[in-house]
Amino acid sequence: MIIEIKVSKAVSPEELALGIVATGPCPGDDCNADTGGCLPADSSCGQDCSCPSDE
Amino acid sequence: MKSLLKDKIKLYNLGFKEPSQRKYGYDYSVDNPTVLRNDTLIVSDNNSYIIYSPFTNMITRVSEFPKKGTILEDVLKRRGFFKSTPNTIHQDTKWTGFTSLTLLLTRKCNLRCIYCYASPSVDGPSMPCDLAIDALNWFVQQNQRPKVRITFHGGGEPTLEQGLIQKVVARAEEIKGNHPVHYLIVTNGTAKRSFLDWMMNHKFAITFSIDGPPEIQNRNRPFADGSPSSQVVENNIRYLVAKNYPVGVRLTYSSKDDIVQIIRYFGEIGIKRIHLEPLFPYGRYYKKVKFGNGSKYKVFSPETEDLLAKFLKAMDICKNYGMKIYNGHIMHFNKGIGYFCGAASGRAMVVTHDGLLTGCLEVVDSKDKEIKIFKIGDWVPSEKRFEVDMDKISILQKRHADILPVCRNCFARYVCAGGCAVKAVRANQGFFGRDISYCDFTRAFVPILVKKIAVMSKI
Repeated sequence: MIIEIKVSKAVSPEELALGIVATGPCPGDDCNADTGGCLPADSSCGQDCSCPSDE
Repeated sequence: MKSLLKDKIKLYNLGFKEPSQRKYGYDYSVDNPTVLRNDTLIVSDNNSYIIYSPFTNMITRVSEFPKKGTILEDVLKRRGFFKSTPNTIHQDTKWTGFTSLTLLLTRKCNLRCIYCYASPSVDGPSMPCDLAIDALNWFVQQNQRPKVRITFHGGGEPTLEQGLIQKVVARAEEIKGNHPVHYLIVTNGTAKRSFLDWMMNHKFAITFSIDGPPEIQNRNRPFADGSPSSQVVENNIRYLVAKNYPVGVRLTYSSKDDIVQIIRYFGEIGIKRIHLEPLFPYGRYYKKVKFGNGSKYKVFSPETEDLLAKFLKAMDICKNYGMKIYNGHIMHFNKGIGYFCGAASGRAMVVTHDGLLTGCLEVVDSKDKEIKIFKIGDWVPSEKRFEVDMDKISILQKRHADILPVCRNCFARYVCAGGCAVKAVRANQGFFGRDISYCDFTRAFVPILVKKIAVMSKI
């Protein structure tokens, strides 16, 4: 049996206006490498990895 | 597992609570059409299945469920699906020091936000300068990362201690060596223009906590004397926006309010990034953690279906304005996380004004009733150093998506990693429990998001 499937590159959720830290405005490495420091995933803190000093 | 059991016994001794038994070890995939297999989500959709890896951004659609061991699964594997998850989401098995520093400078605040978890006062105590400088020196000495990240955060309003912030920054610039230093602050937005200018000059990442147009902001976040704060905060935001400085806002949302009106307000004043989190009913106004309209509070937290509908609506409005909307539970959707929070996983060094190391930004001093659970160390002023409780760090490192009993079989475990630890504790789920207010939202949102991505990707 031959199964053919067409695999596509998915659009980023950002095209749906959903902010994603991994592709966000901070081009740093450790900023996006974990949740330490910027604490972007802490719902109470409001940080979002925006790092003007990286720019 | 023996190690986890041992830690749980320690936790009971510390007053930790057992997570809800009814979900213990429950296999969510049994009755849920969405499945996570390695790095790939399988989402049932209109008599077919979307196969999508958020980590590699590959997507396809197949007509039948790719059961394990079938030719279809094999074909999908060969096309790049069902790969191992990235190393970045794996559990920390050793501790190599803190990766960032957060200073909770003060317990004083000039606002009286109704939902504030910290309940600061106008004349609350602040961190002594010696403690702040010792924390910075000690952190930099043990930091193994190429960058130094310093955050000034709540427990009170950090900009009320601007002199202390300036001293910390001056010292950081002295000792940074070749390491770039990043400064971040979460503020209520009432600081004087001169201090905003100073922060901009030092390239601070600035997040303003503001809840929306005047009627909402003034109700939720008035000044301590009850006077409205909206105009002051809005003017400061406009000041930064006019200088093209990147500004994010942190919006605490109650389903009492119109999300469309709120997003439009931020769009009109030039905000491009909104961080929306639903109100969590804990703090000075909320005596009991209860969600939804049935809570009897005038300003209440949304329940799952309401939050889901409003968040999807907010995404649509943001798109129209060219804005991005962030949410703590889904902002790592394409990267994945094993830990929800840097503080509650022992990665972030969070220092309270009274010299404790806390594993939670909301557990802000030695008087907090959850401090026994979250305290991970102490300042030793005579030696200008910090004593870290390694047993406690080891426990925190086990609050991982693959270990949490209520999460380890969930398809969304690398999206939210169990959610916020302190919210789980406050809602009587225990430290190893889930953030119940968000769990259902995340589990409902992920398949919807994947279906939207599939439509946009034309598959």
